Amino acid sequence: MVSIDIMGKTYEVPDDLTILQALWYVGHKTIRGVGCLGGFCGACSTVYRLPDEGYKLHVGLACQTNVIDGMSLAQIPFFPSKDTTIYAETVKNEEELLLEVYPDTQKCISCGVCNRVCPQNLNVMGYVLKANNGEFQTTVNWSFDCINCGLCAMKCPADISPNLIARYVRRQYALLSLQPSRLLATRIEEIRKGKYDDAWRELFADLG
Amino acid sequence: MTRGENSSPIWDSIRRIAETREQRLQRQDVPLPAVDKETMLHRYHPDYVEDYFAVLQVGPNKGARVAKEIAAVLESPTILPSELQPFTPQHKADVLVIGGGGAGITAAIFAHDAGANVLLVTKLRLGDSNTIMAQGGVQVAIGADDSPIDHFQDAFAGGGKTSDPHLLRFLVEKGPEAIVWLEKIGVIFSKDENGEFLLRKAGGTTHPRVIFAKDYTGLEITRNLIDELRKRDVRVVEMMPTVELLTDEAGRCTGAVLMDYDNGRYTAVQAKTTILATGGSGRLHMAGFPTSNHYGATGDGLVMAYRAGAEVRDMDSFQYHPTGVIYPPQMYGLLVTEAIRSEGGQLVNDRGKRFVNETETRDFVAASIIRECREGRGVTVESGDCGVWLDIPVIEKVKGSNYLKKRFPAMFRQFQRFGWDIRKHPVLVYPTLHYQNGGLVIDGSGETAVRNLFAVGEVAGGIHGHNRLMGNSLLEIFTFGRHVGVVAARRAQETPFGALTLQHLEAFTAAPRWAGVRSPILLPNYVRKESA
Repeated sequence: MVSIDIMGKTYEVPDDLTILQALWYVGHKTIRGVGCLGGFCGACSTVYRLPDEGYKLHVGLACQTNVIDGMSLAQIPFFPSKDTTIYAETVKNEEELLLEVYPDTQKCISCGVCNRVCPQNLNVMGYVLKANNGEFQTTVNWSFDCINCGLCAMKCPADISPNLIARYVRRQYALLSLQPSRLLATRIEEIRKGKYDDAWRELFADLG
Repeated sequence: MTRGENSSPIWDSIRRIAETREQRLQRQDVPLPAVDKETMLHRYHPDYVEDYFAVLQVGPNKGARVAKEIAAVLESPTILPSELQPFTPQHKADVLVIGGGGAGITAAIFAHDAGANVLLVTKLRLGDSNTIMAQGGVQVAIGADDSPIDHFQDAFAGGGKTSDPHLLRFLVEKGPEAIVWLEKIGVIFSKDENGEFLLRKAGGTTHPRVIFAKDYTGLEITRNLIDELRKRDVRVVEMMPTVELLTDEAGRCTGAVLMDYDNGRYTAVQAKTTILATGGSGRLHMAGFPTSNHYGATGDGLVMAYRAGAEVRDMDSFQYHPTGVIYPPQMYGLLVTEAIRSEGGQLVNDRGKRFVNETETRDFVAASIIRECREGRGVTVESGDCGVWLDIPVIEKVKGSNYLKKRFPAMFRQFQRFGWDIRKHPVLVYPTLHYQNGGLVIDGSGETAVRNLFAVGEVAGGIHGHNRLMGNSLLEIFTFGRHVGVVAARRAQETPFGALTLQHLEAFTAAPRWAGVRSPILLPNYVRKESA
């Protein structure tokens, strides 16, 4: 058993539980702060401190973090951020528009706190700086595994929401730069022209 | 930072797996057991254990065999207090969409684009669903030597020839168009250097036809869907479970009652048409199995629709995904994607021997694993659970180092967080409840037996028969989601608002054999009994 402190109350729990399992163990009926239970949905962001470490704030997903003796924790199931769904129509104005809809992109002070809190271990600061430079493809690659938990936005001293900037850039990039698949287009054309109609008739005749 | 490698039985077994790895590299088909597939399923698959089932005594499917846990929620009284009527609607919409996963969002987008005023309600956050967790990919017949016919035949055979062939044909024929749409809204799939889709092979299929976005396929699709929805003028209400449907004097669906988690208040919605996209029911833990499902997968839609008069089908058939984690213990029930077996991962018993062809259909592989455990060739852990090894390191022996981290970053992280390096060690697995094969009976436009009530996604039945193939559920929610959204919007144009009553609940006032159960369940209760 280990001793953990959940929002100021201390409990004894078995040492092989995740934080979420520990919440259930002590009697919490979770509604917010719980989701896919597999590390994909970003609903169970949690912050905690450990004894004898002083100021250091740790973060993790409650479904993906083992309890640690002496930890003191709170969940952050929601973090308010400014959202936009306006996208550029042409490659010419995409960078300009990013800075218009997310002006905070330019405010990064390169402190790297976001990298330290990302539960996916992404190079968050890196992709924000790349976005700021207009290197969208790099931002796409570096941010692809983001689960939008919002912990980076919570910690950023410049009030940036890196997770939203990344989503914006990925979508902007995909909307303007992705080449449509030829295989797909060919298959759709074949279906439209009736290439499989005879085979379908035969097959359904067999099924009765 | 691998956990302590000591001399426990687990580690002895892991060492045996490591010792036999080289010999197993030349993966050849394992000679099939002396029993045929049908016999194997009958002997070892949970769908055939009569104790797990009950016969329905009330409602449209009276007399049908369904899982006990399903019977309990279908027959029990509502959680809704009786003094709420008459209802004054707080919301009105042409189309009400219930559920915020891939099916619901897609249907809402297409209903809106077809001109309807749409309200989407969901009991958790928008996007919280099984969709977001989908790792393996989407099955779609785009390979040059592949065809929709082949896709149909694989799925039909894989489902034990019990699918509704017309629904299945719609799935495979409309699949390619749905993928074009996903790309158009910004979904970035994994591609080769020529910009073409990378394809992997699903179990029980004749061609590689599963497209994917690393092992974050569902996440990448869901975040784009959410953004597409938010671009539109669609009202979204989150953290508000729907607890009952409403019907008029003719039994047509006219809306629903929602409950606010935060203050316990009920709200009525009046809608011309209603689309149920509430997902599956793994969190009811059929037969006591663990589940890979999202926290919210409690079968609410089935319950509400059944009470309103919709029929269900195949609710005695569930997909037990062969590879749910048993050990390490913190990951109990979590899924290891089928893509791991597709890329060469091997199932190995305690003796270091393979016992099944890993790319067989899921029902057969699951039954084979259960057989190993029942006949003493599995590995039993401290908790008493038994499993077999999924040898993942063997993949890098063939495909080179760093392959796992590159292709399966999600999985690599999941295990690394608990100190387990999947490049070095196998994972102990046992079948986990993964998918509700059956569901509400729908016609070709997704409508249930209840007029103006549509169903899409896992809550609907008939497409996959008794066993679904990998990647066909993602395909289903987009092909059918697009279609049902449009049909429901068109129907709404010719439908007036109707009366809001709960008359359909009259037959469901007491279910003595499920004492104490009230439904829908809304959320599973994992609170330890002694602490409550």
